[in-house]
Amino acid sequence: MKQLFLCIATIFCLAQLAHAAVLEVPLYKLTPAKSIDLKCTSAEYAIPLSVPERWEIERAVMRFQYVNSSSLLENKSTLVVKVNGYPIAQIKLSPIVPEGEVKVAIPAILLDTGYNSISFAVTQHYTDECEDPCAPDLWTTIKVDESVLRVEYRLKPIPLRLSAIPEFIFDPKIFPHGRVNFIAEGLTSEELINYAGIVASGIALRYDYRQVFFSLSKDIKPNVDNILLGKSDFIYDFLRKKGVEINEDASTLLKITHLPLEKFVRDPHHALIIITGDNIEQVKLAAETFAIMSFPFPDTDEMTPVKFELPDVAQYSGKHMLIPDKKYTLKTLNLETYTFKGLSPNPKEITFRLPPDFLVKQNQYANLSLHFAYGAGMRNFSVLNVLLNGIHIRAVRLDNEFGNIVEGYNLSIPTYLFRAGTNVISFAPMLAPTMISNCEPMPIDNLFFTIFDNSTFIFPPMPHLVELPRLELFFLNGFPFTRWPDGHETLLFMTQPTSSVIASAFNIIGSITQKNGFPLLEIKMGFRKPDAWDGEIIILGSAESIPDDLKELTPLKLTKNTSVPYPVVKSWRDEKTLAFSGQISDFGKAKGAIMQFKSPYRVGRTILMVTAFSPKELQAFSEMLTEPAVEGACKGDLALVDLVSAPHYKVYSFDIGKKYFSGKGGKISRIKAYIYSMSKYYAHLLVFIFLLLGITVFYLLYRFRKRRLKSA
Amino acid sequence: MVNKNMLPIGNLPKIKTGKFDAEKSIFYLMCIFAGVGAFCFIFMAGCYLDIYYQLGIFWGLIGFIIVAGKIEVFKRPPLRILFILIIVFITLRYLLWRTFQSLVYTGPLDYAATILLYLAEAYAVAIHFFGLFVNIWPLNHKIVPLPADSRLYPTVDIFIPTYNEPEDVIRTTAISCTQIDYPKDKFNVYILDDGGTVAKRNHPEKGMDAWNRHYSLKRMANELGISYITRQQNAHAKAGNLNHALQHTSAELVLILDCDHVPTRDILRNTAGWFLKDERLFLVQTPHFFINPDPFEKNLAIFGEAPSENEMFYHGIHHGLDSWNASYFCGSAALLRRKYLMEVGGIAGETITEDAETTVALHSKGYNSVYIDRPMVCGLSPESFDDMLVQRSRWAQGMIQIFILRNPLFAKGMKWYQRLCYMSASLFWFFGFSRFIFYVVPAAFLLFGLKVYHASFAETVAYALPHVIGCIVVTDFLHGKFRWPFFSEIYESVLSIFLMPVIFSVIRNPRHPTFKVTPKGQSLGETVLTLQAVPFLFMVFIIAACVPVGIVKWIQFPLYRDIILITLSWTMFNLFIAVASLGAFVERRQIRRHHRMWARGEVNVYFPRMKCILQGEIKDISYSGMGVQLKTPFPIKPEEDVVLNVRDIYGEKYAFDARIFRQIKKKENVFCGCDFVVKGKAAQLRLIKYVYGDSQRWEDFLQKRFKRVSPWVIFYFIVRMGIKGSRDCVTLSSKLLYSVLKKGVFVVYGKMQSLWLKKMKLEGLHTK
Repeated sequence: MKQLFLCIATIFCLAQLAHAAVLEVPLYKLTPAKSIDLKCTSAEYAIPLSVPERWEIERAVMRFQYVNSSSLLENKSTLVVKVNGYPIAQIKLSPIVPEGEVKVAIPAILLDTGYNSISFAVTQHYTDECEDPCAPDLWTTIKVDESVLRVEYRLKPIPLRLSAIPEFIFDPKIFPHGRVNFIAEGLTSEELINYAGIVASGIALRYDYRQVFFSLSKDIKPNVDNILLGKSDFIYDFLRKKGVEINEDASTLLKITHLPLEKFVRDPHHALIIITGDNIEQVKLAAETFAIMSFPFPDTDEMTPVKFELPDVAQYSGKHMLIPDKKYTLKTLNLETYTFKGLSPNPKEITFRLPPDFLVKQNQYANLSLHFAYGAGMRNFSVLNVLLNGIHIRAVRLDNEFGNIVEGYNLSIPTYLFRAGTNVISFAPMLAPTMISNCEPMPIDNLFFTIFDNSTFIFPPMPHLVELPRLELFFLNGFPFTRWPDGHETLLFMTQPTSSVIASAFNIIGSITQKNGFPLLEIKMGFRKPDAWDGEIIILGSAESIPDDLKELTPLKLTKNTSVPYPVVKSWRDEKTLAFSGQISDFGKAKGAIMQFKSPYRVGRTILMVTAFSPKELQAFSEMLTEPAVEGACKGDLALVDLVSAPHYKVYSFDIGKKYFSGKGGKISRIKAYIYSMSKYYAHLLVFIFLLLGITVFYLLYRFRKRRLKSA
Repeated sequence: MVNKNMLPIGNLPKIKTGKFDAEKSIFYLMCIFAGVGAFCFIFMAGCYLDIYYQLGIFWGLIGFIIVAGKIEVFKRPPLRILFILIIVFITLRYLLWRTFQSLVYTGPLDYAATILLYLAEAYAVAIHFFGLFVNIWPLNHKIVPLPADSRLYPTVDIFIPTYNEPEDVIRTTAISCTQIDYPKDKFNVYILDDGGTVAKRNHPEKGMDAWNRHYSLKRMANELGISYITRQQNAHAKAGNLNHALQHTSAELVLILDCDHVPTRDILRNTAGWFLKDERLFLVQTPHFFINPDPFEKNLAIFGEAPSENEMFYHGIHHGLDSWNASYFCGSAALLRRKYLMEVGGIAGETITEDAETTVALHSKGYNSVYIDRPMVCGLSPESFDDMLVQRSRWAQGMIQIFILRNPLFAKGMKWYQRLCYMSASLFWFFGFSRFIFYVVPAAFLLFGLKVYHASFAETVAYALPHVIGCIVVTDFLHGKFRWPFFSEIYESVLSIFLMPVIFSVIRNPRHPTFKVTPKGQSLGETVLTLQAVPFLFMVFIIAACVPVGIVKWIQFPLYRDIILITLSWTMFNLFIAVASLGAFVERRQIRRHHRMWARGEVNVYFPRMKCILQGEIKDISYSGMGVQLKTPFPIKPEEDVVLNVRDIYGEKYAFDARIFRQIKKKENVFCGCDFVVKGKAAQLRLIKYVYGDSQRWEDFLQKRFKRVSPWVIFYFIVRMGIKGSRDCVTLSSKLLYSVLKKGVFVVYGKMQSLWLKKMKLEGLHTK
């Protein structure tokens, strides 16, 4: 009776959950701008909106505020809201009431699964006569920070196919973030936790750049997708209890099923993914296979992995990683031949990454060789603006009024303008028609600029040498743990075997994976102190659980009797004066710390320590570290984050520890490391060598000279 | 009682006792230290440094060497060695940076130009290192006195090889030779005439001149009591001439003198002693001292004000070569041991620098050489720029021939340090190539957009500039007394464009060059612009054009400002040097046959008209006259006859009849220009003995010229040279252009007139 009651209650809850979910998103979360300025007689701005596969949208309403110029003519000025190019509302822009709030219902039918655009377009005029098409009076501003999109949706049932994993379940279009739970019961050994880490890495990769938070629970966690990983004897027993049928003959198994909440009670809107094998090796095989399932196959609900082979992995490779000295066509860099049209068309970009430890030389140039064509009848100050990471670096003048096809227009871009990690080169043409009077219709169909995808880009080779610690490189690229993109030579040391610490580890792994675009199949996880580990180390744990000898190495000593840096005078960027206060204090609950410092075990290697007061705070901190605002603010070798400050994160970054150098592959000789990191001692060493060599040469010459004088 | 079978204690054979040899152990230990030190030195030079550390440390080193260069104690080892090590380090770091960080491929043409520039730089750095090695601890060998017993003196044959030089030049040298202070029975003088060989005399057109020369030289030899030798053919030029003479003479030592090299009386006394001291000595070389300005000094009007070009070699570098037992035969003013010379087959003749080639062979045999830095011959530099080009082309060709045909690096028997010294000497002559590249490379970027130097401004300041300044400082440190900063650049820049084709022709065909005698004793009636100026002026024009182009590019291409700034600065420096060199092409009027030299000493001037003797001071001297400063209580008549009573360094008294042909009054003093009135052969002999016989006079003159001056003075000096030279150059080139155009107009007018007349004739309109 009791069981029946529970079942009914659960079904009721599920029905409630399945009924409808509501999501209110401030528009500023969807676009980087805080306000949208629409200028000139005609302008448009699009905001991307992703709709995940598993949502079935029932209703969407957008509420936004705008301000327009009080010089506009009401009967000739209109603001149009479009969804995927289809107008859904138009508002007259009145000079008498130049501000307004609009509530627009977006028909659910217009919002397709995948990426949609909500655009604001204006046509605006200030006179009936001839007018300057870009007069300063012609403007309308959408207040993005005061606008909200409300979406009501229902979750679709999960299709019981493994092919649903990459696109349906772990969908990068999910909003605002993904959540995945691991069932801790099965993770009975370090190896299994390690394989769970690989799975977490694979899941994070499927989510692409979308945040994903991992958790661990003893049993199945409702309302999220769950991962059940472990040896088959435990798994089968566990599933039997949940009433899930399984092919117990398979030695290795990957299976998807609806989330079993109780025996015979399933949540069809969430999945339980089973990753198992008869022994450790088979579990590993299943985990690795799961981690690389990057496209929808197979369509069955289970599979038996029998073999797993990875191609050779090269150092400094990964998603969008540019190989130096290799000529890339724009097509290879995902920019196909494209024709820009109109006065000020939207720019196109190529995005690539550079190894963060490149020693950028001042005297080297990357070469961009452009093939392009442009229309006739354009004014000779039409230009193609080339931007690197948002900074204008060149304007190519399109000055032939008869149009032209140009091949091999070379742009040499100084390499020091590039930055470690992701770089974006944008092409933004500004096309002007031939001089006409304001009254004539403006010919714009001839205003085109085509960039051909056989244009090339080449980045020169550079040595790998970087001064560390630099947390910003970790947040850019997961450096130095992604030198080998699969996490080879990296050890993740968890100081406590608690679910929160393990979940934190998965969050960190997920974060690194998303940055590098490669599953961390080779990362090692463990609870044993990494004495004499040859590679890079990540330490996760509450402050009190970290071994004392490691605490001593950190920039901020986490011991009771500690030394705390306080900025005395904060001057220009990077220039601050620090006072160090020796004190007996405690870390406190409200802070998380991430620190980077030199590994005591191997020259050139790094330790990254992520810690908080307790495992629970640590998990919250690890989730917070995936927030772009926090990532962007963490610099130097120590970042303290206020855990209760969301959504206005408070991050305090310092650069207080000792500097050291790391060479290619993290290896550097002791002498070089000493000289590089102790540049001030270079001069001392030099004096010593001058004296040593001077005295010996003098002695040898003196001896030779004595003999010479004796003979002749 | 001494047992005859017992050896004297000093000659006891050494018995190996297994005892610890401290000296050897220290030596080996020091070698290990030096090896470790050298490894660390190179390692440190290659280490990466943040650009700000690089700037700090290397500009600190530059500051240190600038200060240390002024301190006397750094001029001597061991601090001298430390100084040189710092310079080597700065340059080595630059070279490593250039090699590993700045050679960037940006396109085939760019890269070709980049590599050319890099090779030119690497060459310059190699020469720089060789130079530092040679000069690390120069040796100044002292004169070894001859024993009191003159019977022990070695016998000497003095060879004066001649080809086409004027007879009076040869006569002066021959007379001086006869007056050398050495037992008369111990030396013989030979005129080796290659201008009067049988082949020459049998030449159908020039035979008569050869006969005349043959007779007159033979007559002169008889008259002076010396020997005359000539031969059948002119095979192997000067080397062949000397070898022929060696076969017909027999003295132990041979003194070789170019026919314009007038020896001082002490030349044998100062040199022969070394041959008695060192059994394995084959050569004592002495410096060449020139009484007249070379074309650069004459045309740039710097004679006597700045050190001459050859002084760095004879008074700086040669001491370094000598310290490594690599002093080499310079063709004249050298005493050689016949026995060793014959052992290598006499004077070598495979290349056209027979002197250096012979020395390579003798050093390969393990024999020694010594250099004595006392001018004991007085010679003539080439008078004109063209003559100088002939001489320098021969040297360049010969040394490159040695580099190719007898590469000292692979010469058997030579010591490693001698190989390096010879490499330094022979490689040096490729400077035309590198200097030319340095001239044109900035233009290649500024005019044609070739990217040749991949460095930011900060890198240039951090790496290149310390290297450049280091080179200037060390050159000044080592040779500042003998060569002022930037003067090497001026000499080499001018010569480079003319030596380039010569270098390439030797590389193409190393056995092709033939010996060309340097013309001496030429004169010039009027100041003219030499035609050799045309290619140089063209180059200057190109360099000058780069400046406005560079400025325009600076405005137009903000991304390239670093490299534009570098190349523009470089161009400005090139232009500075080029403009300063322009005057070298202005061939100034030269009619005086005997050059007046600075001189000091007392003179008693006897005035027969007044029957009184006045004491005066010698101001200058030449074979034709003497400049005297007097205080006269009476007015001197024009062209007044006087008798000049003087005394030489040896205390010997001379009285010369003279005539005052010029007098300039300066306050109480009168400067009198006196011409000697030589009556009879005895007077001529005594005059030559007095004028050329005293080596101390040449030494004093040199010491007067060896002076260090501040960089500002040199800068002012060069600017002055540039202004004067370019002004003269512009004036003379406009005159030349005007005359060419004028001539052209007349020619055209004449042609037109004749055509018109022809036409009129054809049309029957012409009546006459």
